Amino acid sequence: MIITFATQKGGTGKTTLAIAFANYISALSERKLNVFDFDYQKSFYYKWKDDELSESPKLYEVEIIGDDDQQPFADFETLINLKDSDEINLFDLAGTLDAKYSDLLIYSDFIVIPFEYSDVSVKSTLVFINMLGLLESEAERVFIRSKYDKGYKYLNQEGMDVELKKFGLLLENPVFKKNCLQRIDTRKLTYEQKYGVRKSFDELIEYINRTLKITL
Amino acid sequence: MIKISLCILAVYLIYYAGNILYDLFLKKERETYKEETEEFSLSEISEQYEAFALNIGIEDVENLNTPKSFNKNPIRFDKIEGKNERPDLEYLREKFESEQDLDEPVENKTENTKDFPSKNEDIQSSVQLESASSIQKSNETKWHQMLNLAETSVQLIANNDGYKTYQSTM
Repeated sequence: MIITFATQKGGTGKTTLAIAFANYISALSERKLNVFDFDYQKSFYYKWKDDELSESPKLYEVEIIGDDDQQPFADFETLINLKDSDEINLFDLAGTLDAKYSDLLIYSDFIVIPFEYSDVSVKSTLVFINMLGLLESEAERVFIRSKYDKGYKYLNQEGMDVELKKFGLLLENPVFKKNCLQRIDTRKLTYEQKYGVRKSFDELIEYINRTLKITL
Repeated sequence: MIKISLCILAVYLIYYAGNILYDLFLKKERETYKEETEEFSLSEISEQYEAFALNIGIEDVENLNTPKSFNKNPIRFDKIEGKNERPDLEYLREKFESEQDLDEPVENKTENTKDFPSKNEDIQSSVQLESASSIQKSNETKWHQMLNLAETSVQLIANNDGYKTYQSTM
C-alpha cells in the first residue's frame, strides 16, 4: 500500500508527522516499512542519515526519489507494485505541488493532509483538494489538524471542518502543538512524543484497516 | 542664584544687542563682493558648423552592413488582401521564414554553415528528443493549467475576524 503525506503548503508539519507516523507504525506493525523522501529538500532523508550516529536501532530504510528523474514513475509498473505490495510504503512530499507527483497522487491509497486553521493553510488545502479532484486521484483523503492549540478558539474551524469533511476523513483528534515534536528523530518516539500523536494515528490506522480490510 | 541668572540674562542681552548692531552697521561695510562673471559666446562656434548642419542630403544616411538573408523589400500583404482569394501559401511561407529570421538570427546563421547531410542526421536524431521533450512540456503545461484552475476554484465564504472560511467551487 502507499501512504503519502502531502499538502500544497510548506510548514504544516508534514515531514514531522511523516517521521512520527513511520516511527509509530514501525513499532506497531509487523509489516515492512519503506520510506521514500520525494521532497527536493530531502529533510526526512537527511534526518535519517544524521540519526545513523544514534545508538538506537534503525527502524526502516529511507530512499530519495525524484532527485534527477523528471518522472520517477515513468515505467508505471514500479508504482503499481508498490501499491499492490503488502509492505507499507510511506511517501513524504514537498510543500510545493509539482507535475512529477501526479502519478503518486493518483495511485496512492491514502493521502494524509496536515493542515492548520490559518487562512493561508486552509486555502492551500482546498487548492490541493481541487488538484486531487482534477487529477482524478483514487486516494482516500485524510485531513489531520496539525500544530493545534487547544487553548485557542479558531473562528473558522466550524466552517472549514464542514467543508473538509465533504472531501475525506477529518480526524477527530488533532496533533497538538508540542515542542517535543521538534526534537523528533527517525529511531524512536519518546513517551511525550508518542502521547502527542497517539490518538490521531490510532484513528488513522483504524481508518486504513477499515478501508482496506486489513490489519496493519 | 538670582544674581547668577540675572548675570547670564544680562550677558545674553548684551550679546544679542551686539549682534544686532553688527548686522545693521558694520556688516555692510565689510561685505564686498567680487563680481567674477565671464561671458562666453557660442555664436562663433555655431557659425563655423552652420554649413554642415543645414545640408543633410539623402546620401548622408549611414549604410548598415546587413546579412545576405536580410530582405530589404518589405513584403506587402495588401496586394493579396485586396483580392478575395485564398492567400498564396508560398508568400505566407516566405513571410513566416523572414519573420523567423528576425527572431532567431543567430540560430539560422549556425544552421546555414552546416552541411546538408549532417543537417538531415541532426534532424532525425533530434526528432526523438523533441518528441520526448514536447510530451514533457505539454504535461507541464497541462499541470500548470490544472493548478491554475484548482487555485481559482476556491472561494472565500466567510471572514470571521481574519479567520477565513473557504469553499471549493469545483
